[in-house]
Amino acid sequence: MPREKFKTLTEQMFYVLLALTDECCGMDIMEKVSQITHGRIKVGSGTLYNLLEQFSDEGIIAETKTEGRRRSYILTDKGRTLLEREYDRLVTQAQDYNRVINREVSYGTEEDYAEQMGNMGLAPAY
Amino acid sequence: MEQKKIMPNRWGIWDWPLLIEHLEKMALEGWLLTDYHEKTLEFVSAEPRRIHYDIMFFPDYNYDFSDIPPKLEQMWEIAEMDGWKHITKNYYVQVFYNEQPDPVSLHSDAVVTLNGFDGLVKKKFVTVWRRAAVAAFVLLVAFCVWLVVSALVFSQTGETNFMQFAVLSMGSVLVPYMVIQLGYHCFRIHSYKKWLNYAYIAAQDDNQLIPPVSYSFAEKAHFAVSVVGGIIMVIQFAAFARIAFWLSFLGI
Repeated sequence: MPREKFKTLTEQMFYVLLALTDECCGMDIMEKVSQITHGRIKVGSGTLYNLLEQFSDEGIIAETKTEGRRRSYILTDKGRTLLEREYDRLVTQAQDYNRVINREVSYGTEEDYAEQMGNMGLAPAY
Repeated sequence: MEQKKIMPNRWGIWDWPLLIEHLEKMALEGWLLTDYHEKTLEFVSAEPRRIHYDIMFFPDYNYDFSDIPPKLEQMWEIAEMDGWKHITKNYYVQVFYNEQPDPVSLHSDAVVTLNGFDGLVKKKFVTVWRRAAVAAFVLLVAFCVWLVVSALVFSQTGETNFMQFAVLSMGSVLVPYMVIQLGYHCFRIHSYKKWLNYAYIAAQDDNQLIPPVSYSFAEKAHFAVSVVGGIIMVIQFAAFARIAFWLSFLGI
């Protein structure tokens, strides 16, 4: 069965898309990702180039302008949906984690759990 | 004085980790890569030192240096920010080097690298393998149909002719040849897909890049069989054509 491209995003894909919520060029993306993640994620230049090509081909990002060698890109509606879907997936994972861990630790009731999730600013995941 | 050295390029697209290893070893021995071609590698003598090499694959470009796509130039510029300098002029394999002691890898995301590599392999190899397998299969089926029709005609008339004898004789080489072609190309497609699935899982789970299996022995054996089989078939065809000409000339 053919593999669905970008069904789930890797960490680097996620941050590159996040950086492209505002228009920017290749070099700016690298710096922006590094800033967002406080240097934790460093996108390799080959990876960035391949990503921009693959995202463009899939209509996830669009080229906005070209100044000499510099080409700028921005997230399309399709890209935004993809990013939001990935965010939801990550939040659900975090909620599941919290639900399991908190229950294991506190052996609390459903109400305790809902309160704990509320304290963390998250919706209960049942 | 600078010395130059040209070596045969024994590393196919599948052997990129081995090629990188070889280039780094050559740099330690005082030979720096100056150009990469499909069949040869060019080196120049220099002070022996530790140099990092890396490779990128470009499935979409078939350019000469009079027409470099701006996107590619942009990539070289981005790579230079991390100290990676572009070396080669081969259109689909781009070799970079970096003299920094511990550079950021060109490929920081294994899934993205696999996507790029898969794009190249599909374009350059898988399409060819698929066409070759289909052609071999069609020829085999056509020969089998001819065989059945000839047998039916022979059972009804009891007559045979030179053409039937010639095609049957050529079939004794053509059938095994086509079976080998069909088997080899199906095997390559299947093994590539198997590796790709496995590599994607490793890339997705651990951001680890599993190098492909090169099957260089199978490649060489297939090449030898193709050449020998091809030559035998050409000789057979020429011989039968000549005999057929003389038979028709003599009116037999």
